[in-house]
Amino acid sequence: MTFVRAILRAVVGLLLACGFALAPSCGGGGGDVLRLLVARFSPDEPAPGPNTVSMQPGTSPNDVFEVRIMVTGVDDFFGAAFRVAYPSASVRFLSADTGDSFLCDAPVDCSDPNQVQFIVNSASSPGEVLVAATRVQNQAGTVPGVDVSESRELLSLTFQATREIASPGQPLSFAPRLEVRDSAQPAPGNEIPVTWEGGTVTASR
Amino acid sequence: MRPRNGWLLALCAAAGAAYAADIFVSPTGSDVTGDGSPAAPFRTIQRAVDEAQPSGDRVRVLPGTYNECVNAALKSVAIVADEFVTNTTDPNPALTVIDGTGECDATSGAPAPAVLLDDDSTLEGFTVLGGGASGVQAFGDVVITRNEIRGNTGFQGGGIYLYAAALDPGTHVAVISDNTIRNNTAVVDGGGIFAFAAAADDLRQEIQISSNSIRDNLAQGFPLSTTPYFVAGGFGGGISTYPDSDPLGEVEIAITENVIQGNSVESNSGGYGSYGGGVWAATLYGAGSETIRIADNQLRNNTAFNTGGGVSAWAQGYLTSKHTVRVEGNSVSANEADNGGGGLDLFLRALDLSAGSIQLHASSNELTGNRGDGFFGGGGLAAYAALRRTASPDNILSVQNNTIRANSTDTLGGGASILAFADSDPDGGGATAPASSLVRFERNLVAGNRAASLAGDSFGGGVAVDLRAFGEAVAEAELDFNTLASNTADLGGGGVDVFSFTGADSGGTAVGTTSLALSNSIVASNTGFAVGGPPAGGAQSFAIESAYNDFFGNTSGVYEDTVFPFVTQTANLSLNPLLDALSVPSICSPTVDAADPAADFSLEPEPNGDRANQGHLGGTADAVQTLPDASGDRIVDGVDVLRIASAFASDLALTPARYFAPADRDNDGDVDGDDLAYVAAFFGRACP
Repeated sequence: MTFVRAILRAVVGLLLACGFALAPSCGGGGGDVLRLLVARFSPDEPAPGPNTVSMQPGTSPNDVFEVRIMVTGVDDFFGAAFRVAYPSASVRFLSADTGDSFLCDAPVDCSDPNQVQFIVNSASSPGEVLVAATRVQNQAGTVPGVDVSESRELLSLTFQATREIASPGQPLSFAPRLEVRDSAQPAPGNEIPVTWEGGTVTASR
Repeated sequence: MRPRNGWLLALCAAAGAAYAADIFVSPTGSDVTGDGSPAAPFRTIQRAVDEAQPSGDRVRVLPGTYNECVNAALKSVAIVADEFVTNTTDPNPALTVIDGTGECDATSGAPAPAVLLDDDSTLEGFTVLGGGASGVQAFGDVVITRNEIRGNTGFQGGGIYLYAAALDPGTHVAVISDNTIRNNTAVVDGGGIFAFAAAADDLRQEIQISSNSIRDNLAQGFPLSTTPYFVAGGFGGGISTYPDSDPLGEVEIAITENVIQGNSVESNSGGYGSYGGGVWAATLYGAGSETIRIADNQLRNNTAFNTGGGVSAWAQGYLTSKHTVRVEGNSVSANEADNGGGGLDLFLRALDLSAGSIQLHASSNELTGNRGDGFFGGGGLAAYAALRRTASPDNILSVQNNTIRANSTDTLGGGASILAFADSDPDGGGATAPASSLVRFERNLVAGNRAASLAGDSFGGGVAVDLRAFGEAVAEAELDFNTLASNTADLGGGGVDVFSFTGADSGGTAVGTTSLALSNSIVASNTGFAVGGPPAGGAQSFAIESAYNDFFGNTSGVYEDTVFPFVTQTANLSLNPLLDALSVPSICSPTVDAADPAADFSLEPEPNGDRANQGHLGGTADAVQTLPDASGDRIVDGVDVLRIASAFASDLALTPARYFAPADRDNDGDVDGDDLAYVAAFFGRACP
């Protein structure tokens, strides 16, 4: 092996080991600019009471952070429509995960879009994530809602902080046009009044 | 006499040819010692043609220049460049030239066609030039294909003169296809091609002119002052064609997929004549069934001294005529006509048409950047219906589904000029019969056109309408489902300008009536009035019905004072139609679902609100969809999904208690996956 090739191999090995982050422990030892951004989501209401839909923190390994949309103490929860407003100058929306949604409880099969619908859109309105999460009624009108006695996850949203957000942080909030419905029909008369609780995100290095 | 050798027949059979024999011609052959075989070809094509049997033989001409004029009268023979037999990949017509220069051209003293073909003959693969009585003169069911025909002159048909008249029952088709026809000159008509088709009773004749490049040809126009002929002026710089028929005869002429550019028709007769810079195609007064179809051509940079820079298409009839002319799917750009119809000149005319019908339809054409000045105006098109003692509603001039953009005039009708004329007493002698004339102008996009002159006296930026009726006669124009946007006029109507004149017949017993119906249209952002004009003259019996239109942003207002007293209004809007750069309304446009509730919406894609949109896309498969807003807040979001999810699988008839009509976005009586899909498709869309 020539000297040049040996140097190259050493550099590549360093990059792989450090995941390109060049954190101090990886031998960078350098300034804060190269330090990883770490985001933190804090709920406005860590212990929500009955009839609440709230944002709660999920995993937050680095600049990526998860916000769990939790439903607490709502009977016959059939579906919800809401918008999450976020500070688009410092946060971007990445994805939604519905794998742990209580809407998928039996007897509903979440793999069948005729039984449950999740629609999430962030492209139409900057700084907003539009969400519909609902069971879908059948012909006989017998699909029930879910009695959520404590706190359960409706779905989770994953964001990424793109720059530092100093304390006290910036809000993630439920924007107007919020609705929770039970399984009663016809449609206009079955809204369940709930309290909506958001949170705050900070990001630092 | 060339022996009918067995080897020739065998060769043809082996090649799968349908010819009885091949006769070869070569520049190195001999008309004296040759026998037409490959080993001993003739020197001239004429010698080979003379040798051919009355029908069924093929003359194969090896590459070279043949300075001769070929007369194949009374022979049914295929004259084919050998290059086009042996080279199947990229044969070149430049290699085999029939040149009549000095032999039969205009200066030869004995003008004749460079090639004369008779019935059931073929000419393929040549360059033909120097013809003094057309490059190719053909009679009957000929096939003229893959030639370059240039630099010829003729009285009619500088490049090709075709006369096709069915003589017996059966299929009769003459074909001119895949040729380049350029730089030819005709004295009267058809600088590139003149084609005439005729059918006697119980016979049928077709002419197909397709996939040719027809460019830079000239029809000069015959001098009026010296003519001994029935025509004067010029017709069809590129193509001139017309049929004739007996009452039970049928003729069909199709001009399709040609590129027709740079042709011109002049007037050499003091301003008389000169129609159709690119194409002049007309039914005249044939008594039978005649159809002309001009479709899918590209027409550009053609000029006419009088009308029809791109195309002059005329449908005329008398007594029993059943004539239809269609101009459809053409791209017509940058053509010019000094007296109107820069792109298209459409002319419907009938006299005493008692038992037949005539129709002229222009549809789905793209008319861009044309100029039409003078009396008829109409930068994009001029549509003129003149019916005399003819009243059947079957006689129609329709202009539908066209895109008319960026055309201009210095007189009237930057986009289109419409003239409806009806006269019950055309002779003024008291021989009267009811007459009615109707022009339908529907689902056209008319945008960015200009009626502008140095004097500042041009009018009708989008459309100019001229209605004239005399005696027991009705002249009408129906403008329905159009978008007239961003047109400009010096005076009057920037969108629509209307003129009306009604008068009595010679006996003074009846006065004509005129009307303009303007409906379901978007008339927006025009410079001038939305509807203007001076309906003056005579004792007016004139009305404008204005219904279900959106008039918005026209610089001078909606109605000019001169027309307002004649207007009856129903359910018009004055809201921003939210048009994009292509004049297509936004889904948020107030013109969506705003047409007459009685109008057909069935072709509009779901969700369509069970009501047609205004404008040129209204009622069509391209209509803008209705915002699938189940909650009525002009926002499509999760709330709408909830409405549908809750009422899902409900049915108005079966489960009326669960059925929720606003969730049934396609109004089909049930809430199902379609409704959910519509909401999902527009999820996040909000209208102010």
